[in-house]
Amino acid sequence: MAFLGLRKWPTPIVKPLWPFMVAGSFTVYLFAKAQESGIRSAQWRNDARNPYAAELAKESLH
Amino acid sequence: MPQLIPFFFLNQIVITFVILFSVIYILSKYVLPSSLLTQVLRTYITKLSKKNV
Repeated sequence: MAFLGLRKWPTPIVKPLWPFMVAGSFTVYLFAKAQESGIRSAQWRNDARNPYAAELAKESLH
Repeated sequence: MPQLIPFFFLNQIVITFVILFSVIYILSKYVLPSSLLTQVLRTYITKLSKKNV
């Protein structure tokens, strides 16, 4: 396999970097939670740029 | 500040990690071992061609 003409070397990726991959996944989960709480907050709920207007309409109907 | 608008948090974090991982992968699989080999070969060629170095 080559990438732009360079040879591919058998460097280990998962074996040394798996803790960072676990931490990265946890960070993505935390950011998703932060986004969920942020778009439902009073400050951003009725913003014109909010692309989640559909969920706002559903939540108001209950 | 656009980075603090909560609609785009997931967007930002996914792009960040995709770029980070691809840069680390390309560097460690293709670029850095080649330059290491170049340096080692240069050292061998220099030292083995001069007896008292």
